Amino acid sequence: MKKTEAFRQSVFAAVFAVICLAVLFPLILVVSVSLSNETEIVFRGYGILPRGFDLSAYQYIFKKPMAVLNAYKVTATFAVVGTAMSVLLTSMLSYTLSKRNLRRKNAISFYVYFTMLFSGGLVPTYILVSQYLGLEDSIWVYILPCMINPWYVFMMRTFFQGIPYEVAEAALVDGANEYKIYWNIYMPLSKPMLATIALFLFLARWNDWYTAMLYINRDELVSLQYLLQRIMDNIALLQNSENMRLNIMDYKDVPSETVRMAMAVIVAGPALVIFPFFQKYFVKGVTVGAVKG
Amino acid sequence: MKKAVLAIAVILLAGLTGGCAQKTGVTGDAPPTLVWYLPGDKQADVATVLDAANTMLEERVGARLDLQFIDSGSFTQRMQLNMASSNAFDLCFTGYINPYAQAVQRGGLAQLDPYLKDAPALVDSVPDYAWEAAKVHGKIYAVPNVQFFAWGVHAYTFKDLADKYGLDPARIKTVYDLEPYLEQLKTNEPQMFPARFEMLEDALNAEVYKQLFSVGLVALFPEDGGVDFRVKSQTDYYKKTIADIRKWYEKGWLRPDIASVTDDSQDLNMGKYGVWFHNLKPSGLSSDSEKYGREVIAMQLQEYKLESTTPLSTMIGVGNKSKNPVLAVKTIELLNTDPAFYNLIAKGVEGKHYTTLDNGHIRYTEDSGYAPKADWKFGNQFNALLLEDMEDDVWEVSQRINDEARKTPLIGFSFDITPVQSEISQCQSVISEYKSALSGSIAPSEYYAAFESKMKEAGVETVRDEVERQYKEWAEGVN
Repeated sequence: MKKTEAFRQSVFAAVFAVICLAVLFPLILVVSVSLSNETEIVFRGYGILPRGFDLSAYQYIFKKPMAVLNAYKVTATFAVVGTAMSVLLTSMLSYTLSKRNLRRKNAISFYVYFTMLFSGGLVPTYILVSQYLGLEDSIWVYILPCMINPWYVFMMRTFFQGIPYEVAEAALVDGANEYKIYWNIYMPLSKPMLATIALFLFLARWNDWYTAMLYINRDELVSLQYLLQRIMDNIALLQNSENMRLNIMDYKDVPSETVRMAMAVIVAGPALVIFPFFQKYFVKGVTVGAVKG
Repeated sequence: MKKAVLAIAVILLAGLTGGCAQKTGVTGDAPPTLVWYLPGDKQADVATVLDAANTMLEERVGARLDLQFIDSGSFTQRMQLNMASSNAFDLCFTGYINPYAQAVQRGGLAQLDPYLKDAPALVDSVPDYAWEAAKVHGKIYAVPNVQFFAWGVHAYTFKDLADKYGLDPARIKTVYDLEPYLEQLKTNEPQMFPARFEMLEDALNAEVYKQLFSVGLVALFPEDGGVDFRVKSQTDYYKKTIADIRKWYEKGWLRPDIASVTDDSQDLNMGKYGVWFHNLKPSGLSSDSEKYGREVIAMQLQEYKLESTTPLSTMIGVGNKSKNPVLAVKTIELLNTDPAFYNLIAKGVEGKHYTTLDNGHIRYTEDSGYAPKADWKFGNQFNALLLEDMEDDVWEVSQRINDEARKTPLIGFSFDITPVQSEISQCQSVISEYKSALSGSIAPSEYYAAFESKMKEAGVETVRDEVERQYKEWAEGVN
């Protein structure tokens, strides 16, 4: 009996070890390539250890560090501010919707739910954001649109409904108003869930390049991911123009393999560091919504 | 509470009206500013260039210019949004990105025929075949930027390699003449790939493609008194091509991982390929040699020809919602006919962004803040100042080759893909399914029958019939 148990354990361990390696390997390769010598990469291929250790890719990027540093500043600003505002607003709406005595509750819920089913489409959204809201070329374009995600509203509402009503009632009897109950009781009780949603929101914003592509013309407001995406877009364009037999494009402006990987390291790095801090809450949080509410 | 609501309403209203006042508050007499959307990196010192350009433009046309660069990679999408929303831009790039046919179809570009009547110098500066190519249902919606339009596939290699293995470029007439050289590279330069796959098809078919125009899914063979339409994948030359590719692959002349390679730009840049195929522009070799840091030679495999789509790859259009289309066309005319104005926009300010050398050629100043380095975005390239490494007669030679190149009989015919959109995309997915086979990793005898029947199922013959139908309709309209 014990023997089969040990055997099962080791099979599991082996399977997970393989999965771990499958996840780690590309990351290690990216780092290794970014530290390699370009000629070595082209002629000898990628290696798990850097081929001909060479920092010139990083030197190239940090020769003009302003673009990268500035993009960091922009992305960090809107990711932090946007996440904080998002979590705050989402939780306020969810708290209200979780109240049993809310009038027109179904109508409001449906109003929120409706946006999950239908959206305006790209062109109307663009016209709204750029012309009516005037957010083009502003840091707010990263933050304000899609501030409240209905999916998270319903996740939070379900979580809030799971907090025993008696807790709120007791506070009410002690003289707390709704704001106080929301802020001093519900919010602290919901930390794991809030952290999970904050993490999702943060990663979504951190990885957002599409907004910058659509609305940003000024270089000083370009987001970090868009710097990367731009390189990839330009390479795809070159490929395409070669297929179309054009006379105009040239491969010499494409950044080298090592520079691309170094950019990826610089861009992805911080997200890798932040993730473990949330992990404690993460495990608890993923079960949010698993119990029927 | 009511007061608060009122206060907010007042603030909002004030904000809105304030915003409007700013936008409409243009004084009567100032010349209008034309907004011009261009693909490319933002130029830090665009202000200096615009200052100089606007002095000229105000005097000659009575307008001012604002250059708006948008990243090339997102240019198509951004322009689609600009055209769909009520953005009243005046000029924009259209062509290989922000595709011309699409832009016209979406109603984003103004029809230019009425304005071109008043711009004879502009009409004269662009060759007739390019105007003819620019017609969509008989109307012109953008002005082609004249450049080297001709196309003839060449084989390239490094001179030191050619010398080492005794390759005599003068004796190479077809791609098959290169075979011994490739074998030598294969044996003696194990760190290299002897040949690049990209455009190998053109090289293998140099003779056939000389006759053939508009190669997509459908091959069009001009014949006396008409055109013969054939499904490309069913032609004999195509079957020979895949057999040849298979042979090259088996011989080890192509890279073994060809099926999975998506971006080989660095392999090309670092000189990992022994032979590669491309078009050759006049003065192209010197800039290539500089790029690779090794002397490069090219061997012509095919006579130059001129496809109907090439002049459409670089054009300037006028926005359909532009408030000043007349001035916009006048500006295009100035760009195409006045070398001083054109070079100001394309190269920057002399002494600041470039210096003129003793022989009249120019050298870019490093980090000058203005170097778009793409003459073809701005107008007729044959007006451009010559760079250091260019031959003195580069534009004359280019023009001569353009004129002499064999012209497609399809000039002026544009294929509207909408009726067969789904067939085309199904065929494309069949082709990508067979990508690794088609690039040589499987013998054609093992897959061709299945590939062919899948292509038929996907509707490749419907596409052929549609091309033929549209062509006949067009040909009747012309005559």
